Amino acid sequence: MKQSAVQPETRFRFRALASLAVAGLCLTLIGAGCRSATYVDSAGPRTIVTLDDINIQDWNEAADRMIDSLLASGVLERAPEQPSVMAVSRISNHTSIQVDTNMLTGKIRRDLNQSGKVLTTTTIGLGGRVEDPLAQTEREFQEFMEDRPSEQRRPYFTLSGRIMEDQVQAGRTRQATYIFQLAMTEITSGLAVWEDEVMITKQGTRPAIGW
Amino acid sequence: MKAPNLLRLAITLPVAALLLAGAACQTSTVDTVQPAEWRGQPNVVEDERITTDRRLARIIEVRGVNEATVSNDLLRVQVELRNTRQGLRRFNYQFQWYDNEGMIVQQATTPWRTLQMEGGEIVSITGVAPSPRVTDFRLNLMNSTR
Repeated sequence: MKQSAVQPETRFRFRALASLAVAGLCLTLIGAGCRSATYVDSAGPRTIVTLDDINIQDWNEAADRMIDSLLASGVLERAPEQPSVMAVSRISNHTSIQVDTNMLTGKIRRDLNQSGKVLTTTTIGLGGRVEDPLAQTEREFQEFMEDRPSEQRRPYFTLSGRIMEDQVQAGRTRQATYIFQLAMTEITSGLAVWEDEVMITKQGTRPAIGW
Repeated sequence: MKAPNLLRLAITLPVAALLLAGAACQTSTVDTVQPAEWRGQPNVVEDERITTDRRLARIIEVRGVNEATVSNDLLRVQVELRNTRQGLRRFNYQFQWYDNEGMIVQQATTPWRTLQMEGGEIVSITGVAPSPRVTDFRLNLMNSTR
């Protein structure tokens, strides 16, 4: 019988090292699979990325880029009265998922308000559906009591838009593109004085933590 | 299988995997053409850099910072970056805004944004101040967390 050229001691060391490496790998895999729940910055790069949803970072980025574009366009200065008043019109969802479009318009409204360029009305809404019915009822009550119409400022601009998606696949790799389109219309002329589009494309085979 | 053969296999397999991975990651670089002399006169800002990730600083070269005013009184900042490497690189960035007393001006959210640059590509990233009170800015850059 042919004898191995390797000494038993060397063989033992090799096996011990191999066992340690396997054990280390197993521990790492187990550790990676078990993450305790923790807080992450909603605006930071450690949030979860999925292909089937518009994630919080997608809403943030779309809104942020729209705000930058709108402020840089200079159209807000065209209103005769500053700050101008804006009403949010229809933001239609043409994706396969159910979304709350306020995720987009809410941040845009807050940041525009903070810029001092635009105020948003909460008592004028599409189809008569107002955001703050109490404010509207109270105004109507005050008009009735004082027997004269209140000096309510009417909107000069309206904000409308749509959200669309495009899904494609190559082998196991999927790609999802979410397209955010917004337009600001000057009510008196009926013209879209500002329009922009933000596309967010994600590609992969499974969800991931961080980006 | 004998121990030396196993050892050889243990060395050969990772090397082969690295070679295959290298082949899969195609390098692509961007060539750029621009006027020899720019006609515009950007308002260039002298910048101070605080580097904590030297690797990122070597990969992403900050070529220049300039600013302008939009909507009458809002600061707009543009930072020109160049990927010094041969292949695609991903990183994140965030603008922060400060008033003339050095206090941070809060937005509804100040999100990090992701940016990917092909090898050698020059990209300008811009940010618009959220308020006329803003007089200064800070740009944070970090490597992709993945």
